[in-house]
Order: sequence, then C-alpha cells, then structure tokens
Amino acid sequence: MALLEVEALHARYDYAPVLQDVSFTVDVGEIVGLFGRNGAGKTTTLRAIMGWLRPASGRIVFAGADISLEAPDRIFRRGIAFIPEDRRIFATLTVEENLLLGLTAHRCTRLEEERRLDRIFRLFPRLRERRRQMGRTLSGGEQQMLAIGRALVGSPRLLLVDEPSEGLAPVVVTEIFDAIVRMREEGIALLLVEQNVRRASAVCKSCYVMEKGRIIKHGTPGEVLADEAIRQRLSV
Amino acid sequence: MQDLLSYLHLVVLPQMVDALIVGAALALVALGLTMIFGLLDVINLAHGDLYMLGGYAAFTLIGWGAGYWGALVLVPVLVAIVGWGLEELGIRPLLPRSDRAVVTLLLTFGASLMLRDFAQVVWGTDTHAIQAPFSGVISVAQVFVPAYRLFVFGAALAAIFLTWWLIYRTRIGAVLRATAADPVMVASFGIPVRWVYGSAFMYGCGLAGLAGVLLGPIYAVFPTMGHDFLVMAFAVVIVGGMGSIVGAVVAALALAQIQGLASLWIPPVWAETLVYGVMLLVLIVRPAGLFRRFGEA
Repeated sequence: MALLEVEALHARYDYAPVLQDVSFTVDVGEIVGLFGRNGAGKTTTLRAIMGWLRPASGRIVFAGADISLEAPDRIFRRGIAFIPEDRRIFATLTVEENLLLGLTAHRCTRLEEERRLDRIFRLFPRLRERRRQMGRTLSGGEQQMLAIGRALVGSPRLLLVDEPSEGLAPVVVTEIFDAIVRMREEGIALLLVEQNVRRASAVCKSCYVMEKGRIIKHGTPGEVLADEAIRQRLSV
Repeated sequence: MQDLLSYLHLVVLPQMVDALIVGAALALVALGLTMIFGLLDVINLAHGDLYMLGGYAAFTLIGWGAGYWGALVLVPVLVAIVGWGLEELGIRPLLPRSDRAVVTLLLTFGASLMLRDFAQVVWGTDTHAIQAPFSGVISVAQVFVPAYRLFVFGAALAAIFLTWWLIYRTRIGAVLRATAADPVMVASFGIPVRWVYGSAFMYGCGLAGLAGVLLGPIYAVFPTMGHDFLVMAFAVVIVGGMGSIVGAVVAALALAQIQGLASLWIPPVWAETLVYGVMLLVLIVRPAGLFRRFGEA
C-alpha cells in the first residue's frame, strides 16, 4: 500500500476550481515529481495535503488514515512536513531556534535534540556556522537549507517540497538536490514540485504533469519527457 | 542657582521618581495588551477591567485573611483564569473569521462592561482601600520614597524582565515569536497554535491582575479604575508600537514621565491631554509606533 494516496481530489479558491479530480500516490522512500506551468495547481495540491486548504471533495490518505479534513498540526504529527515555496523562515528566530521549532512537537530530550541538530549541521555545514544568527540575515541558499533542515529535523516520513531551487545559484541548487537524494536514501518519501524539470527528473522515480488543475500525464521521467507535447508544455 | 538646584531636587526629582513607579506598573498593563495584540490581532478592551478585577480580588482575599503576600501570588493566577474563560468562550470561536478585528473588539467591549457592572454589584460603587504590607520611607539620593512604592517598582521591573526573558530567551518565547509572525507555518510544525494563543492571553491577563494588586494600596480600588488606566495603556501601546514588547516598556516609562513632569506646571487634567497629544503626534509621524511588533523583522 502506498504511503500517500490522493484520490479524486477537488479544491477551489472561493468559487474558482483549482484542482479537479487529482489522483496520485507516493510510496515509501521514493521521490515523486509534480510538474507543470505556473498556476497548474501544483502548490495548491501540496497545500491541500498539508491541511492549509480544505478539499471540496476527494480523499487524502496517509499511512492508511484519511487526513483530508485534519488541521496542519495534526498532519505534521502524523509524519508530513512541508517546505513552502517562499520558505517561510522565522526571521526573528535564530537558525538554531528555527530548527528547534521543527522539533517542538517531538518533546525529545536535550541529548536527542543535540544529536538531531548535529545531523542537520552535517548535511548543511553552513548552518552550523550560522547557528546563532537571525533567520533574516541568511542568504537565499542558506534560507533554503534552513527550510529543509527545519522540516527534516523531526524525521518526517513524507516531505512536501515546493520549488526548492527557485531563485538559487546553480552551485547551491546542486547542493540542495544532493540533500534531496540523501533524504531519499534515509528512507524519506518526497513529493517534489519543481520548475527545473531536468534537474528534478534526474532524481524522481515517477512523475505527474499537471495542467489547469488536472493531471494530464503520469509515468517515469523518461516516459513523460518522451512525449513531445509534454516537453513543449513544460518548455524542457 | 541654588534655588534652581533645590527646586530640581525637592520638586522635580521626587516627581520623576513617582512617575518611574507609575510607569513601571503601566508597563505591566501595556505589556499584556501588546502581547495579545501582537499574537492574536485582538484589541482587548476588557484589559483594564481585568486590572480592576485584580485590585478587587486582592481586596477580597486580604479581607478573607490571605494577607497581602497571599493575594500577590493568588490574584494573577485568578485573573489569568478569568482571562482564559474570556479567550476560550469568547475570543477563540471568533478568531477564524475574517472580520475578527472588529468582532473581537465588540466582544471585549461587552466583556469590559460586564466586568465593571459585576464589580459594582459585588463590591458596590465605593472606593476600597487596601493596606500596604509595610510602611516606612526610604531615602534614595536624598529623595524620600515610601518603601511600598519602591517595592512596586521592583516587583514590576521583575515581572517585565521575566516577560522579556520568556519571550526572547526561552523555547516557549521562540514559539511565541514565530507564532506572531507566521501562525500557519508554526501549526505546520505540529504546534497547536490555539494553545499558544490561549496561554499568551492568560499570561497577559495575569500581568494586568498583578498590576491591580501592586497599585491597589497606592490608588485604592474603585469600579472605573480599569477604564482610566486602560486609556493610558492604549496610548502607551500606540506610541511604543502595537505588538512591541520593548516599545510598551519604553513608552510606558516615557509617557509616565511626561505626565508626571507636566502636571508640575500645568493642571493634571491638561497633563493627561498632553500625553494624548504625544500619542496623536506619533500616530501622524510614525503610525506604526516607535518599535517593531515582536516576531517581525
């Protein structure tokens, strides 16, 4: 059974439908890509899974439980973490405080906290150097590292990642994608929304292409990108 | 020259010391107000009446034999519990609404009227005196200050410091600052934001209750005491910046000085008007107040 099953999901903002009959699955320890142009409904899909948006109909099932109507704090505690597109680092919290916020719900011991922080610092050594700095003083790349670290520190089973490479220098993008692969190796499943289809398709096991709130194509990255029409749509 | 020095020493300095004490107590009320606004976007019009309730609760508890020190410990807890009731039953159900600023204003206004009427029914309209726990006068820099007033200053300062420490130096404080800035993201890390709101509201109300006990022996307690104090606390919060912790403390101390010193030379009623004049000026020149909302960059 899949870790995440989205079944016939419909959602709307006010009265404008934004998701129509969206269905897909993510298995344990796999990276699934969600591609499409701006406004295709990718971000909305992630928001609906995290409970930021109440679906109009359809089901979201995580590890066997229907989470469609649950609140974000409950969904997080089930094992889903969300890294939104704008990262939403807490600007007036230090790097360490930002990371610890991702651990608050876990109530672990001081020792366990240190161990978990250390794991993040080994993944992104730059964060260790910036440990006592305020979130707002970080560069874009460092903010993305912090956003990933903050989501990762609580060991989620599924990570929802929205446009992690957006606005970052190519070197930093490589670092971020290396981290994404490392996460998968640790057994974390990822649902990855990405404009940089070439980069993303190199790490995805399967992918879905969305347009106007619907899924129009599904398959391995190879299969999907073999379709000339799809390549045109994604401008790859 | 000698005259001026002795005027400064015998008239101005004592007035400043007095204003410092009033300012510290005012900061307690303003702190709660600004914390609640910073986190919940709620303007708590009942805050002054919670301060009043603190005064009356102290009066009653001392009458029952709890003693001043017993009241000092119990009253903030009791007022915090009343605040919890207000938040849980009144404010929380309104928070999801898009017009929450207006409806919670109306709600807390109603709560304010109810609390004031409640006080009049239970304690009557007379002014009640509270006995200070100790008397005596202490000389600071050759200015004679009643020992109790110094105690009030110290206790208020301790509570202010505790609040600052909680918000800026602890894990709970990190959650509060994060929630003030981005509650949805905080919730997405498994933290039940409504508990954060509830406990911050309770804490703010507890501070108002504490101010009520502390100032009771100085000003005595009467049903409208909260109203007068709240208007002043609002001026403080507006000048300091709505939702700013540091701003509330700085503005409370500054406005108390302005009012205290001005009333040396102009009638006290006009001194109060001057304070609102300063508030108006700040609103025109710097509408967001002098300091940033906590949690915001």
